[in-house]
Formats: sequence, structure tokens, C-alpha cells
Amino acid sequence: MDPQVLIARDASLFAAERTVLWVALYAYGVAFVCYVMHFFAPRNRLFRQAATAALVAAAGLQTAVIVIRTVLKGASPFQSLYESLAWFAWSAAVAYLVIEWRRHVKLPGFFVSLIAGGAVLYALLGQNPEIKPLFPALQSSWFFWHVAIAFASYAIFVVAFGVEISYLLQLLFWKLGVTKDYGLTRDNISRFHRSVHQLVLFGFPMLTFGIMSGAAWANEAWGVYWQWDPKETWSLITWFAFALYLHARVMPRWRGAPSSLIMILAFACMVTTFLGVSWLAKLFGVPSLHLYG
Amino acid sequence: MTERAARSHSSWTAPFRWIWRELSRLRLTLWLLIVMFVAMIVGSIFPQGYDPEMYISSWGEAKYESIARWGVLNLFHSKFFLTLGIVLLLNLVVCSLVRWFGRSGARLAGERPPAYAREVKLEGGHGMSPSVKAVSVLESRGYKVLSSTGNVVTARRGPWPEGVSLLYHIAMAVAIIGFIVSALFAFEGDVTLYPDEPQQVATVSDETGAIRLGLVKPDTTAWADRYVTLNLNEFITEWEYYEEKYYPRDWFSDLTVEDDNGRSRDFMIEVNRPLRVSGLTFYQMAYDQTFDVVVMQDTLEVERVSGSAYVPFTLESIGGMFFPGTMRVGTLYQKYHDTEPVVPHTPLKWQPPAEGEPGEDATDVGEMAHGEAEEPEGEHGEGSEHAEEAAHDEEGEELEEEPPPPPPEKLEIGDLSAEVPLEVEGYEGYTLILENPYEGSVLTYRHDPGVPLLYLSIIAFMVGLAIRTYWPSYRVNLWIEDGADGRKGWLAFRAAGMLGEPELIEEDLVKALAEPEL
Repeated sequence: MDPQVLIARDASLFAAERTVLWVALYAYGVAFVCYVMHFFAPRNRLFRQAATAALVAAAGLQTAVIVIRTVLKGASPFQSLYESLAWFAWSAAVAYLVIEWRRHVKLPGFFVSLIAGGAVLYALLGQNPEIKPLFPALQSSWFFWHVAIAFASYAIFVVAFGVEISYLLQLLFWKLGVTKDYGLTRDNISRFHRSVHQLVLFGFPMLTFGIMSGAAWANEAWGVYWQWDPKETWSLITWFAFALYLHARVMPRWRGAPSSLIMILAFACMVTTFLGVSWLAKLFGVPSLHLYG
Repeated sequence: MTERAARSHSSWTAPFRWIWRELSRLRLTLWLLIVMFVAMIVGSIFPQGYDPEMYISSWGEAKYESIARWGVLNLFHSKFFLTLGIVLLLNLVVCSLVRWFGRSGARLAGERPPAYAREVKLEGGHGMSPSVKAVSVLESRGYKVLSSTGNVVTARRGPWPEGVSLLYHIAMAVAIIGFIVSALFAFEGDVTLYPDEPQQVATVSDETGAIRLGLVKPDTTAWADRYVTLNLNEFITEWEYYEEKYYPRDWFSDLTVEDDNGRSRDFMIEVNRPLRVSGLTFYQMAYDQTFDVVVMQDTLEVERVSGSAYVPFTLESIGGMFFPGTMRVGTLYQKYHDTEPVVPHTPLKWQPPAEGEPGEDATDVGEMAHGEAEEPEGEHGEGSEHAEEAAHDEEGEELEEEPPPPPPEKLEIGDLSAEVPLEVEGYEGYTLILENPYEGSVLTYRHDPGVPLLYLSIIAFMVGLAIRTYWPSYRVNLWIEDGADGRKGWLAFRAAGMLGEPELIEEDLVKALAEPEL
């Protein structure tokens, strides 16, 4: 086929991808509103079903975006921050939908749709969508597995954080005596707290694999597996924070409020690793090999 | 042993027992994790391990002194951080030993059921006692009965959780040992190869941490003939042209390598595909590029200088300073197009001469070209820094009289190409051409005996963690007793592993224990 025709086809696919991502953003917005309404009117079926449907639509649209992007690039779509944010939003939404389906939980949905929608909005308004060929160092079989598994862990932690926030809100409502409509008891509130532990347990090996595969990849590409680069250091900080959480859950005195606090801290570390490191590196003038990510 | 001797023995071992007890505590793990967590945050906000001059040039001496005194500028290689790592290692080892030696006691039930145990109905059936029936029920469901003494039955199904936990704790300890081995015995360097100019690289070094700390003495006599010889047969670069920009695609070195035993072999290495030979690993890191810049006046060559990528140069016939970028040479890939050779070229910026400097306009050019050339041609690349320094000195002297004018802006003047002559504004009749593009291959190398330990620990850690987290395992403790309304028991059911169905399995067990038939 004529190269000019193929190039024109790529340009229209690129424009379509942007449009679909905007529609996905609106779907995240609808999902967020419906999840919030469900929070205030838990017996209303309409909000409950509309929230899930909107989130499924958003994740479905984003799947289409990822497929288009992969076709256009001819490689996994997580090289730039624009692509990483979209991938992050998609994996968080999918992870939450799986957990909602398996565990029949709804409350964390408001938080997950907010985070996913926020990430897509930031990608659309704040990042350059330009497609660039892969740098030589990124042309490795580690690239897909390192990023995909690390982001899968991030997605699990987003859901875990959403469940933790839901737990803390319910605990607050329960203490205020607002329990009638929600059927809340101390026991079923505590189930949320235990679920967070289960989710972190599930995501922790993935985060570990993400870090270790990154080290192995760096050893292949740069000849050194660990350089205390800010991104590397913060990924280890995040790992330490979640390890601290898992150990705290085993200690009777740390199991309650301290573990909730550590969970929130660990999530903040995860967000810093993903988004804050570039900002920190620029602010403090620390050189980093990962600033393209 | 007399009472006095026992007391004396006890007081002698007391500090060791206290240390052992503290090292086996989870509380210590938590505090170590917290302290390392905080230390790493501090370490991530200060640039680590640079020369003091670098810090002073960006912060000033006073700020550097005030920060450096806290030891945070090389935190990850400090004694403080190393000590934390060693204590964490000891903590892991002691916890692992406690798990190993305490494994038989940990899995058996106590005399009384714990608070979380649930009451279950028990039936014997076929004339069996409830405990024999319970053992049969458990064994038929794949449980391994660990103990069945009196009225207490203990059983397990699936992987042994403490054993798996032991595996990944030992793996972490091995990883820390690997880090220490790397810190003590690893060394690295780089080598630039040009076609058919062999280079030798020593496979040993006196630049290791162990030698710096005085733990090992260098044996320079025995090390004299321990080297590998690398010969670059060909260096290949590939570029990708996408959306009107050039992107590096890959670069390869075709090498002939003679190892330290005198065996010679051919290798092709590229980014992400290193070469391992005689304990060294070579990585394709970058390229070194040189070219000639030729100044033409009509068809006459008036000047020729050597240039290198990213090294500024000056010309006698055209004033100002030139700033080349990466030279593109090799094979060009373009989406939906066939591959083709790249026309050698480099993007070029030009900083015109400042007002009053020789060569500021075309009138000066002739004078410069024909009379005032004093700088040796071969020193243009390297000499540019000296030229800048000299300019600064001159400016410094002028500072006393009046502030120097700001330097002219750098202008993007196009590509210095092997095919298309480049014109410079204000110098009509003169064009620039690139000739003799030449590339060398820059390899880094590293010797790191800690890496195999790290890979071993990564595999063991991931296997252990994955089994512990996902693979279901169940532990059952059953206390059998007689109640007022017949036999009853207390079932303590514990599940681990995310992929299990503990509720279903527990209910199935409760139902089977209550059934009169097996």
C-alpha cells in the first residue's frame, strides 16, 4: 500500500484515540457521580448499577485506546507519561471491577473512578500525546513485564487505598451513629480493614517483581543493577512502606489505626514514585535516568 | 554445675541471650524498616556521591558545608546505612533460625482452643471414635495429619507456610550478602574502540571497595597478564526517522575478543545484549563521533578542522563558535518505507561573534583566514574550553571598567551535511561541508561477583513470596470434648493463600464432621 495512505490512516487513528479517551474521561466522571450517589443512597439500585456500567464503559473505551496506541507504536504503550497515566487509569479500573465482581463491594468505586478519571484528565490536559519510537534501552523483553506487572501492583494498591478510605469513612459514620441505612456493624466494617490487608498481600509480590525485574533489566542495559537513582530509591521506599504495613498487620498493637496510617503513607509513597519523583528531582536538582518515564 | 557456677554462666551469656532475643523480635524489624524508610527519603532529595566541587558550584561553600556535615551526601554508602543493612541482615537470619527450629512446635495445637475457634458437632460413625473419624475426614480431603493425640487433632493442607516464609526471608538475607559482595569486590570502567585498533582491558582492578578498606592487598605482579583484548571489526548505527525527527534506533559492535586464556572469539553486542567474558561484562553504551568540517569558498577549500559530536569548535574563516549535535550516520529506518543509508549530517548551532570581536562581519573574514590563524588545528575540539576560559579571563579584566555585554544567542543554522553545503548568514560565498565521518564504540564494563547471589535471591524470593501469597494452605486444629447433648468439638481453621476458598472448605469440613457417615 502507498506509504502516504498508511500515514494518513495513522493520523486518523491518532485523532480517534484522543476522542475515545475524552469519552472515557466523561464515563469516569459519570461513574464517580453515581458511586457518590450510591454512597448517600445505598438502597437505590439505579445508582448502583449505573456506577458499575459507567466504569465498565470507561474501562472498555480505554481498552480500545490501548489497542489503537499499540498498533500505532508497534510496541507496548507505556513509554511516555501520557501513556503511563492512561495505562495506570485502565489497570486501576479493571482491578477494581474484578474485585467488585468477586467481592460484591461498591463503596471504594467512588475513589477508584476519581483516581482513574484524574489520571486520564492529567494525561489529556497536561501531557504530550506525541508517539515516539522506543529508545534503544527500552527495546527489551523486560520492558513489557517490568511495567505491566508494576502497574498491576499500583492498580491493586489504588483499590486497597479506596477500601481503606471506605473503611475509615464507615468507621466515622458508625461512631457518629449513622448506621441504619448502611446496615453497618463493627464486624462488617472491620471486614473492609481485613480486605485491605488481603489486597496488599496480593499486590506486594507484583511490586517486588516490578522492582527486581527493573534491577535485572538495568543490569542488562546499563551494567549496574542499582544506582540509587531517585526513581529506584522511591520504588524501594514504597516497597519498604508496604512491607512495614504487612508486618504491622501481624503485630496486635499495630493492627488497627497504626496500620491504617501506614497504608495511607505507603499509598502516598506509591504516588510519589509514579508522579512525584520527576518533580522532586527537578526541585532538588537530583539527576535521574528515569525522567523520560 | 553448682548454683554459683550456673549463675556465673547465666550472667556471662545474658548479653548474648538479650541480643538474640532482640534480633528475633518483629518489633526490631518494624523499627529498622521505619529508620531505613526515613533515611532513603532523605537520601533521595540530595544528589548522592558527587565531588565536593560539584556541590559547591551549585550551592556555594557555606550551604555545602552545612549539609555535608550531616553525612547525607553519600548516605547510601555511609557506615550508618551499612550498619542498618547489617542489623537487618542479622534480624532476618535470626528470625529465619527461630522459624526453622521452632517449626514443629508452631504447627501443633495447644491444650485449649483459642478464642476464634468455632463450636462444631461431631459424629463418629461405623463404630469409630470421633477423633478417628476426624482423622479419616481430614485425610480424605487431602490434609496431612500432623498430630492426633488424645482429643486434639492437628492437620495441614497445602504448602507449609512457615517453611515458605523461611525461604523468602533467607532469600532476603542472601540478597543483602550479594549487595555487600558487590560493594566490596565490584569494579567498572569504560573503553572506546575504533575499528582495527585493539584495546586491552584488565580483568582485575585495585579500585575495589575491599582494597580501599584494606581487606585485600593488590597483587600487581600476578595481575599483570590478566586482561582481555577487544578488537572492533565494525560499528553499526541505526536511526529512525519519525514525524520529521531522528531517533536513535540501536547500535551494535562487531567484536573479536581474546580472553585472558588466549582464546579468540567473535561477538556482536548491542544495547540490552551485553557480552560476558573472563569475569567481565561489556555493555554497548554510546558512540564516539569525529568528522572534518570543511569550509568552501565557491569550489575552493579554504579551511578544514576536526570536529566531534557535542564538542564546540571555531573556524578561522567564519567568526563565532559552532556547536554540533549527534552525527547521524548508518542505516535509516522509516515507518512504511524501505531502509536506506543515512546521509551523514549533524545539526549545527552557531553563536555569532560578539560585537567588537574579530570576524564579527564578513570584512574581517578575509583577514582572519589569511593572516591571524594561530590556534593549532588539532586542538579545536578539546581547546574550545580553553578558548572559553581565555574569553572569560579577558572579560574578567574588562569587568573593572564596564560590565561585559551578554553573549550572542546560539542560532540553529541547519544540518552540517556530507551532501548539502550549509550557508552561514552574513558570510556569503562560504559554505560548510561535513567529510570523513568516523565512529568509535564506547563500551562500559563491570566485574560484579555479587550479581549471581542477587539473581539467586530474586528467584528464591519471588518463588517463596508467590507461594506464600497465592497458593492456598489450610491448618486445622480440632479439640474434641463431650457435651451435655453429645459429642462436640472446637474447630480452629486457619487459611493462607489468596487463591483459596476458605469459607467453602471450612463449611465442607464442618458438614463432614457432623455427618454420621464418612
